[in-house]
Amino acid sequence: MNARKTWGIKAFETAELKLDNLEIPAENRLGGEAGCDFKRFAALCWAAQTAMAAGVGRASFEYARGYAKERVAFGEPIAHRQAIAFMLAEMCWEVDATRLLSWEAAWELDVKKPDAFKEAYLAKLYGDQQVVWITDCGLQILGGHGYIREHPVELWLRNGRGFAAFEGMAIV
Amino acid sequence: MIEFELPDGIKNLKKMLNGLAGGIMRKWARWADDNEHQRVDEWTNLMWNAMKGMGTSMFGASGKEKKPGEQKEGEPKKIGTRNIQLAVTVEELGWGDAGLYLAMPSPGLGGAAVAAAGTPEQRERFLKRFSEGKPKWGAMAITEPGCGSDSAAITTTAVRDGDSWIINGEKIFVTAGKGAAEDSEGLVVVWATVDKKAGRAGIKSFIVDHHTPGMKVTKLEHKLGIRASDTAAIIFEDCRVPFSNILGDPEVKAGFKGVMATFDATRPMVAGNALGIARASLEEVQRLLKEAGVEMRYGVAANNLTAREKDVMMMEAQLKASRLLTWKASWMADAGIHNNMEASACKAKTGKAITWITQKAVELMGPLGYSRKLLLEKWMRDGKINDIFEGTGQINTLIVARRILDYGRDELK
Ligand SMILES: Cc1cc2nc3c(=O)[nH]c(=O)nc-3n(C[C@H](O)[C@H](O)[C@H](O)COP(=O)(O)OP(=O)(O)OC[C@H]3O[C@@H](n4cnc5c(N)ncnc54)[C@H](O)[C@@H]3O)c2cc1C
Repeated sequence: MNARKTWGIKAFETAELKLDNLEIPAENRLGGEAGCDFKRFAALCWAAQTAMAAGVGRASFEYARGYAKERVAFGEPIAHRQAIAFMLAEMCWEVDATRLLSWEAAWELDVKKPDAFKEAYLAKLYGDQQVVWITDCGLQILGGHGYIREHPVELWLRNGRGFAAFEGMAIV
Repeated sequence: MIEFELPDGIKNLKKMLNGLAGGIMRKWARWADDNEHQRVDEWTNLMWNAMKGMGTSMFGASGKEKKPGEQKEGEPKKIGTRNIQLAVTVEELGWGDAGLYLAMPSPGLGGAAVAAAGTPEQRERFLKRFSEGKPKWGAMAITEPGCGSDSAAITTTAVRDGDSWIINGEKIFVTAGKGAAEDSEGLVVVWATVDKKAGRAGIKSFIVDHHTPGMKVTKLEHKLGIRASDTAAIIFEDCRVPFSNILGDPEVKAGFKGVMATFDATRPMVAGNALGIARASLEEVQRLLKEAGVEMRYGVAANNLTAREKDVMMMEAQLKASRLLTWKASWMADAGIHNNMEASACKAKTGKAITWITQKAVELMGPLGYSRKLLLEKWMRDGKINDIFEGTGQINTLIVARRILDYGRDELK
C-alpha cells in the first residue's frame, strides 16, 4: 500500500498494510503446525535492537568527541570545559552499559535462561531511553552546527528517536 | 564466547552471604541506625571469626596472592576471580546493611593499600594481624579539613628524623578511624607530604599503628546515613613512626600515580556495595506492589506502560546497567587489564543510579516509603554516600572524561 514518510531511518521503508479477509494457505503459518515461539522471537529482536541503539549512540559519541576537541570557543577547544567533557564521559559509559545489556540478553537467549524474555525487554527499554539521550547530547555538543544537515548528528538523533517506536518486528 | 555466568563457587558464596545479610544484618539495621557509633557485638564477632577463617583473603588483604603483573613470562595468562568475587560479596553485604558492612572489622582501605603497595615484609608485619586475635580495623586517612577531592593539596607533613618519620596534621572523615586507631590493634594509613614544594611527587603514605603516641581521635561525625560506621577526625601531633612504615618508594619522584592506583581496585567495590542497597530498595518495592496485587507487565509496548510500571522497570534496568559496568571493571582487574577508566565509570554511574533508585523507591511507596516503618528511607540515606566517598560523582566523571579525551589536568581541570 502507501509507503509512509518517516522522520528518521528513511533507508528502511515503512508502509501501511491493510488485510481485508485475506486467505492464505495453512502451510504458510510461521513455524508450521507448532507455530513459533513468539515471545522468544520478540526477545531476540529486542536484544538486537538494543545492540543497534548502542551502535547509533556510539556513532554520535565518537563524532561529538572528535568535534569537541577541534572546535574552539573562548580561546580553547570546547572539550576543555567540564560541561562538554562530562557529557561525553556519560555518553561513553552509557554506550557501554547499553551494549553490555544487549550482550547479556543475547547470551541469556542463547543459553535459554528462563528470564531471558524479561531481560531482553528491560535491555530494550534502557537502550531506547539512552539512545535518545546520547544522540541528543551529540547534537548539543555541536551546537547550531549539529542542527544543520551537513553533520550526521541530527540524523542520528532522528534515528535514535525511532527506537522506542519499534515494537520488535522492524529489524527482521 | 562471552559469558555472564558466575562460577559455582561464587554463586554458593552469594547464597550463603545472602542468608547472613537477610538474617543478622537486617535484624540490627534499624537499631544501628538509631544508635549511632554503637557497635553491634554479635555482628562484629561473627564477621571477625568468618574473616579469620577465610584468612581475610576475602577482602584481598592477605597479601599472599600474586598480582596480575607478577605472573611469569610465558605462563598462560590466567583470569582470576578475586575482584568479581569481592564485588558479589559486597553487593550482598550492602543488600543486608551498608552501615554494618562498613563497620565490620576488616583491613579496610588501609589494608587494601598495604596489600597493593606494601613490600612483602610490610604485608607480613601489618596484615597478619587481621587473621588472628581480637577484632581489628584498618583505615585510610587522606581527607583534610581543607581538601577532599583535591587530594594532592594535603598539608599533613612527614619529616624524616633518623630512623623515624614525624607526622603532623589533621585528617577528617576517616571511615573506621576510631576502630583502627583506638578501639583495636589496627592501623591507619595516612597520606602526608614529605616535600611540599614537590607537589604530587612529595605525597607518600605511611602506616601508623594503633595507639601510636601523637595520634588522637578528636571527633566522631553525625551523619545522614551509614550511622553504624564511625567517621572520625584524627589529629597527628609529632606522631613518630618507624622509617620502614612508609608505603612504597621513599624517594621523591612520581609516586602519586601509584597511590592513586589503589582506587582502581576499590572504586568498583564501592559501586558493588551500592548495588546491594539499590537492589534492596527495588526488591522491597516489588514485594509491596505484589502484595497489593499490582503486576508488572513485562513485554507490553512501552507507550502502554503505566507510569509506575515504567519507574519500577527503569529502576531494574538502571540497576542491571550499573552492575554490568561494575562487573566489567572488576573482571578487567581480574584479567590484569588496566581499568582506571572503567573503575571510575562504574563508580560514577552507580553513584548516580543508586541515588535515583533509592529516592524513587521512597517516592513510589508514598507516605509509607517516607516512614520509618520500612527501611526504604534509610536505604535512601545510606545510598547517597556512594556518590561521595572514593571520589565524588564529579571526580570520577572527570577521570573518565580525561581518559576518553586523552587530556591531562591542564587541559581539563
Ligand atoms: C561518610 C564518609 C566517609 C568517608 N571516609 C573517608 C575515608 O575513609 N578516608 C578519607 O580519606 N576520606 C573519607 N571521606 C572523605 C571523602 O572522600 C570526601 O568527602 C570526598 O572525596 C569529597 O571531598 P570534600 O568533601 O572535601 O568535597 P570537595 O572536594 O570540597 O568538593 C565539593 C564539591 O565540588 C566538586 N568538585 C571538586 N573538585 C571538582 C572538580 N575538579 N571538578 C568538578 N567538581 C569538583 C565535588 O564533586 C563536590 O561536589 C569520607 C567522607 C564521608 C562523608
